[in-house]
Amino acid sequence: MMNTGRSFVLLAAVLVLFGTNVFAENSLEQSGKGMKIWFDTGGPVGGTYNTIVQNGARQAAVDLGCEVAFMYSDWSPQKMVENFTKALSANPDGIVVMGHPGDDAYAPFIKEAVEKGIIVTAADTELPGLMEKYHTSGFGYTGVGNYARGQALASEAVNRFDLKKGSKALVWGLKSQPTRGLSSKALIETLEKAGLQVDYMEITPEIDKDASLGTPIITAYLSSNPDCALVITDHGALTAQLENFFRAAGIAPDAIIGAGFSLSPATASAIKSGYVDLVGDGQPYLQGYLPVLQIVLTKRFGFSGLEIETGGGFVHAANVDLIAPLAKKGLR
Amino acid sequence: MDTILKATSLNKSFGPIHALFDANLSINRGEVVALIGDNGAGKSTLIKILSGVFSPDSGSLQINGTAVNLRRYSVRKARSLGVETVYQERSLGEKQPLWRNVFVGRHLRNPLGFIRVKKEKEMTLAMLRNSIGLKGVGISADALVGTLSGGERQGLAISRAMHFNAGLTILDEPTTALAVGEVGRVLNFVRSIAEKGNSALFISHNLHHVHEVADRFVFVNRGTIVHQCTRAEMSVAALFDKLEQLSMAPLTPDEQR
Amino acid sequence: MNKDNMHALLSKYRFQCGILLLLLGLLGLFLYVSPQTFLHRRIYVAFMSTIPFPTLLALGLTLLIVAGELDLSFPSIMVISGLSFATVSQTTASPFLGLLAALVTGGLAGLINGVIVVLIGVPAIIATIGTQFFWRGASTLLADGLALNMTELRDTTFHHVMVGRLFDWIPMQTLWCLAVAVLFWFLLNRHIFGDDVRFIGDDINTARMMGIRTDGVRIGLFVLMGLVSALASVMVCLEMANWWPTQGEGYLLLVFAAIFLGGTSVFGGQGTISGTVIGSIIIGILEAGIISAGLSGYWTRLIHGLVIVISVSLYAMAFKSRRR
Repeated sequence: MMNTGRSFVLLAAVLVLFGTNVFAENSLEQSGKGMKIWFDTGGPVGGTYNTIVQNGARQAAVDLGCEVAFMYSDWSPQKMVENFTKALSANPDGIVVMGHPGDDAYAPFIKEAVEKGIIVTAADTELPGLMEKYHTSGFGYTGVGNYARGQALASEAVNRFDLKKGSKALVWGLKSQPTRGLSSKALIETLEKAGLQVDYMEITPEIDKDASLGTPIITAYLSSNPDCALVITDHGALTAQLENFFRAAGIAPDAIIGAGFSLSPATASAIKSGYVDLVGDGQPYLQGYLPVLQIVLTKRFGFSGLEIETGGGFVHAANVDLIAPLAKKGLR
Repeated sequence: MDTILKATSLNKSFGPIHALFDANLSINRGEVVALIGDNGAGKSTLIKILSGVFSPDSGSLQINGTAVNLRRYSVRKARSLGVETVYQERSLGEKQPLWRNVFVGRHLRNPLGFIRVKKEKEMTLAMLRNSIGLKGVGISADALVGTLSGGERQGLAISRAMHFNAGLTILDEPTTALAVGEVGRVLNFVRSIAEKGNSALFISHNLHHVHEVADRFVFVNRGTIVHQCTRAEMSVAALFDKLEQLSMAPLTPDEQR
Repeated sequence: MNKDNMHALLSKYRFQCGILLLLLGLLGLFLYVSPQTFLHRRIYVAFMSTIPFPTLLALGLTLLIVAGELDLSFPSIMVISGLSFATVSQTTASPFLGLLAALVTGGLAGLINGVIVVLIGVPAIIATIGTQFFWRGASTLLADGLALNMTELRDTTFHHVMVGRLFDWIPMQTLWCLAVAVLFWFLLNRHIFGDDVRFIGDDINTARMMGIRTDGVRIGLFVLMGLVSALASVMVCLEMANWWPTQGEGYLLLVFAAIFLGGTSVFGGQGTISGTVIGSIIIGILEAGIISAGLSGYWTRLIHGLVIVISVSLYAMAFKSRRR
């Protein structure tokens, strides 16, 4: 059916397309070239979690050709605001903030930034008020809401493991911390709504830093509550130690459902050995990559701020083999 | 010659201050020598050199007739050569038990290097009973030094020196700040050093005490030894006069520079 | 005479008796409140698997404090030695070489503390705050901020020897810790090193006048603390099968609390190994007792604080009463 005339036209079209493409390739350049972005990773230098965020942002910087300067706040809201004013005085093209200090704390500074033409966007924790106000100037949000991630993990656990009403669950978290605590709150509320009986324990500052200190605590709890069916640790390092905790408490793999957040190498091996069954993954790499991308695009093309939820990931026995090697490299 | 210690032309400066200037001192075996002089005369610099705390700028030192290498002379070295210093404050660890204080730096050790605690406690108790005369109820080798009175502490420090058979015990103001009743006991301790055939160098501001125990008086003024005499040659009153006369004396041309 | 001896013995060991009574009282209370937990071997195994780590650190620090020194950098010495252990044992596949590397690292870090404090003359509290930041920073930098997984060591002989379970239930770290405690007891009470340490802490000038080589002993103590931190870190890494950048940070306050609870004087010159061990145990079991009693974890700090303040006040009163 094909005649030569049509082939010719097609060939010509392909050539033209190819030609224009080559032409275009010459005229297009990396979209972020020459841009400077200041990025508050939120945590301490070298923190496990914020290093993944940082790795995402670094990749974005390479991909887009922009420059990213990193700041560290040791998860202290006060330091985040301080870092923001520091970034502001450097007059960059864009600033990525962690939302922990809240709308009110940031409001005057972000107003100043927007007036100066600096594009600000938030990662990790939401700033709903500022989002509404500066959405059109490129203020966006990439991350998992603390409440949302708790809710997601709790309902995934209830559904996946078919937990019956009246079963006992332990949530070990940091409820007393202002915004961070919402995730523990969501875990408790969601589990209770599903009819489970929930016990809550607060992570002490010591255990927060050295998870190993938690062993006698969880052993004591599980001895006193042998009917406990689900343990959720709202803390990356504790999740990584769930296997050790259960071993010390004399709990066999899969005897109790273990769940938690962030996939460290230790957590990955605990999933394989059956001590950890479900890990919620906020995909922090994306929380580094996407804000940088968004600032670059907004700066160049005037797009509005984007709101991106990254919290849909779960790691379990079925997909751990794919994800674990990436976790080892600080990418997941 | 039965000389335990002989120091020849010792000099010591601290920056511009010439603290000790051509000081010569010799002490015989079995003799109690008193060092007398006003504040800042150089007494304390002299005894710190003899006990190994300071190293002199020049001069030489003989102990038991053997020349000492002053470059390598230290408190440790002095103690090993039998020169032991009893300071009013810094001779005892307050929070340590008596037995540790007696043997500090010179513990009796078994072949494995561990301290023979039982033996040391026994010897300490014997020392408390025999030389210091502490017989009070509940006194034990485990009592802390902090529970002793000032005189008892001096007694402990002096009998420690005697126990280790120090050839020369240097006593820095051993009677200051003691209750009247205790002064006599301390002076007795000092006398007993000489009775055992060892020597003592005694520094005190209290000329009555000095006169009571010392066989010989050595006057120090402006960094050097200016006068010496035996007890027989001088009464207490004469001691006072001499000291006053020295501190009133005009500066020599050399010192005025 | 016999009665006198008994009395002397009791009065000499009354601190130790007091704190031992406190420990037994707490255990009795926990047994009464939550027998389901405390009548079971499991909880004691859990205690024996975690309490040795802060105890080891507390033992080393006790000697330093008796000498009137201080080391706030031990958590960071832990983390840098742990990093040495992790990297060397992973690259050479020999955890034993890793242990050596950790000990060398810890010893060197301790030596640096010692040189800064003793030879340069910076007060220990300032110097070790500085080195604490330095080593923490250095190790996060070197590790790129990532935790290192060491699950591959779990089935090695080395793991079994260091933190394995003897007879399938006694954590080996407990035995190591007891061995170190006995060694340190001999060091402090029966060796001239300990004697020097006591006199230095009592009054360093007196110690000098007594001919003690104070500089060498003090530097030695810092090195010893570095070695102990390294050993603790290796064991923590093995037990957790993991090295992480905040390792050790949680131990700082617990270790100090245990030492002062154990009756070691903050002013130096006095301290007991047994007191430190019992103090560490008390600090280590409190939270588990509170949790199993069904109280919320929020109570932990309050009760920690209460126990510490009360016992330290009792010490102060007891000490005053026996001074003339």
